[in-house]
Amino acid sequence: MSTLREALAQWSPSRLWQRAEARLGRTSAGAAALRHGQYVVLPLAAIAAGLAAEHMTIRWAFAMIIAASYLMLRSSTNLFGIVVLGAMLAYLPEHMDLFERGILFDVALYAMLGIGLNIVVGYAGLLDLGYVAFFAVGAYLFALLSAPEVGGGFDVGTSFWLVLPMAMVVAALVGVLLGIPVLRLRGDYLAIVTLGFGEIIGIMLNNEGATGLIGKHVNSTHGLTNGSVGVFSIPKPYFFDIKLATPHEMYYVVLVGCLLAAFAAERIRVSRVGRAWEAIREDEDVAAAMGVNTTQYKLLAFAIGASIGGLGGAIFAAKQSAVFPSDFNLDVSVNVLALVIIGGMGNVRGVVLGSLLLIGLPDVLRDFSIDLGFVSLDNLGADYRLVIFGAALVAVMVLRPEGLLPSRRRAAEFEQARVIEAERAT
Amino acid sequence: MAILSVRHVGRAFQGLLALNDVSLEVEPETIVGIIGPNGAGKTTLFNLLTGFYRPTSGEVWFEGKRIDGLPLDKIAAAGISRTFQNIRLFASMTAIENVLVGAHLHLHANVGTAVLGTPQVRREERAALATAVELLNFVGLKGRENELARNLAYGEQRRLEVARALAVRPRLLLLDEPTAGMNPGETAGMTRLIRELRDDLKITIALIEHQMRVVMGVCEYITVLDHGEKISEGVPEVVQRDQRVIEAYLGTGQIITEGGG
Repeated sequence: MSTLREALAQWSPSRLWQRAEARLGRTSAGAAALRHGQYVVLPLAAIAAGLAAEHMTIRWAFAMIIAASYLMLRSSTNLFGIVVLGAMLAYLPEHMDLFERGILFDVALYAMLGIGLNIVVGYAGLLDLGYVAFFAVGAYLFALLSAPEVGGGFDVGTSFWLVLPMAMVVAALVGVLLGIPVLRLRGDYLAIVTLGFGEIIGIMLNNEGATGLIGKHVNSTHGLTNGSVGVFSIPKPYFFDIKLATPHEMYYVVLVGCLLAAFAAERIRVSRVGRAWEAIREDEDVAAAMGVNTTQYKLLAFAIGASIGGLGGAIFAAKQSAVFPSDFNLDVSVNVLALVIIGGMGNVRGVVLGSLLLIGLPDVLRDFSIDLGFVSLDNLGADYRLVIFGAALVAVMVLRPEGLLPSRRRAAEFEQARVIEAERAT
Repeated sequence: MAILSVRHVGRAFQGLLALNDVSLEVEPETIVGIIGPNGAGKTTLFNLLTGFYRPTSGEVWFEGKRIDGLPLDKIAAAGISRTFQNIRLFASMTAIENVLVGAHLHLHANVGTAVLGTPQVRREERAALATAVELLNFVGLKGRENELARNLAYGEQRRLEVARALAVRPRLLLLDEPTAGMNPGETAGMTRLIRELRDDLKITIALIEHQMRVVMGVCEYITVLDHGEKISEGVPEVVQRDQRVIEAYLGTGQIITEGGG
């Protein structure tokens, strides 16, 4: 058992890859295959995914395997690979039904939220359990500005695109508001306070209806947020003359948002700002002694993370056409944090992989069944999907506590912890 | 004109006086040593100078500005940087990234320009990398740029701390036991490095050190602390013969008899 566990602990996609690389690289043909192989394999895989039988599980399995293998190969510097991946992601929903497209939208949306939270948790090391607050702020901002009955009802035909940066700015301000009181807190204490903050926003949305403290002064029938009834009939945005009415069209919006967020997060990570965050995460006092204004940089992390959450919220509201306080509960924060941790903290590609697994898998499992002839479990997925899902999460955390695709630093930290533990054992 | 002037500084920790009425002056471009037995308050003094603690009494002046009570980053910006007795590198970052964090104050990229990747940001980043490589070469870490700090050998980690502190471009560098735990070869290298810092880079250096050979060899002026108080100061030859210093290290040599029994 212990050897098995050791073997599993040793297992890592990048290590397997490195080993294969070392072995193949010895022959000239192997080296050439390594260098050019992905230019052949990736397009083939993309075509296969597009043409896959129109059975959801199969298609999803394909999509995930391809995305996962792509992410694991880590050839982010390879422009060709990115183009192929982009084309594949754009093509993917073409043959899907409404339900599948909904899942795809959620995966992309949560990947974007994960990228935002990863800035706060993975880069700056500030554990935030109230991320839903910023998501809610973005969603309600768009809803209240545009809904004709409850909110302002101004024309969003083209101004949806103006609301998006507004949502980012407002969410960033809320992020700073949260940041100021928690600046001195670390670790567990920070987590509890942010948890409370997330709850406060959710409860406020629920209570600021016609009888709310502020709401009753704003509007006697709807209050500020229309309470638990929610804000409905949010108009659909337009992209020039194209009405973005379905999850399919909104998927492209969130996909572009996701790519932009990933690009920005990656650029910031390798800059002076990213290094300052890393330093704060490693040793806050020493970072300050090297001249980093830790107050300013922690607030900045909250603000940037929050702005991406706000952007996601506004897109979510536009896609749903209606928002309710119950959409913004603790589950959202926990899911986003879980996908960051499982995917691999500090790494954008890990976060995307985490979203595929955490958000995509539970729905894909609905269709999962086993039929071996002598034993047939045809409702396995529908009845037990969350059990399977939970077991998968436990397995990932036991076998790879650093996440599936950790950043180089996280991997190093966990390796160190492992060595120390091994030394203690002897 | 002294570059650093510590005036009647005291620091109490819940009634315990870690430092009591300590004054000292450091002249520009000198190497001064701060010595004393364990618990004498040497590191506490460094922590007061760099803003880790606020003094409970007294003042600290650096280049004509009062700096006691300023936050850590403002003191770094004023031109003081330090290394740590128990090495405090950013362990999961590479050697060169550690140095680049030290250069934080001299770079100007912000979130906006970093995302856009403006030409200024790229130019400044290239220049910072070149400087960082130079600093690593200077402290003898050539070729170790991309090694994680935690994977460096002990002596290398101490030198990386020096490189990181130098990236702040300090005019006063505080070294807290720079040769602790080093073998004789590494110690000689560090001593040479300290001299070069002063001679080539014109940096004023204050160091805490336990190895008397290093202190007497490299320092031009020495301050001796014991139980939080300054008991002696002067050039090495004088301090070495000071009776109070000898007593502080070796005891008084008398058997103290107490009344009653």
